[in-house]
Amino acid sequence: MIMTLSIAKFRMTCIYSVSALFLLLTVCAAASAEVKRYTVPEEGSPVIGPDKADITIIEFIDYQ
Amino acid sequence: MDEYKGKIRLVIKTYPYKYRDFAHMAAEAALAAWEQGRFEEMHYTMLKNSPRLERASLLGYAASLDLDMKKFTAQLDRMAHSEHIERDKALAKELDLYNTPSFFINGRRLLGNVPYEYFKKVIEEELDAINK
Repeated sequence: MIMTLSIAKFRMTCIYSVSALFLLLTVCAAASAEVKRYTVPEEGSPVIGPDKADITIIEFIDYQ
Repeated sequence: MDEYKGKIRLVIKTYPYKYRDFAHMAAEAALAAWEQGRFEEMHYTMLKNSPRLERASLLGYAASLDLDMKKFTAQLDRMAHSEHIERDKALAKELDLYNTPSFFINGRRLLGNVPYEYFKKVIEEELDAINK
């Protein structure tokens, strides 16, 4: 009887562990899928376009 | 990029490659025009005419845009904006950029000449995220 109980307990523990691991992996995958964004200081540079816009593009250019 | 007019603010950082003869001078010309409030026109004129960017050509472009030639020529010849250009170059190095053009679209980095379709995809994703 006691034996059966501990096996059941052990099984549940295994299931919990596997579920937790799976959840952790899912969270990690989601985090790495998130796009990386860099902060680039504008520090007084020429601007083309409106002062406020949905998108800011910072371009490093060589004219030649 | 005309299709996104009004939705994009384009900030220009100068990153002249040191082994190209006119790269630094062209950046000087762009910034000299900027000081006279004509950056956009000079920027597109130079892109259209690149690589014809030697001194005489740059002076010609400036004259065609009715810039104050005395001021423009003086700034070009004494490389008046070197500090600005060096500042941009230092930033590029800090960001590990070795290619031009390099872009940051709302902070998302695109290195080198990426296909227009990819460029557009990133812009569309950013617009979608804002309009959600």
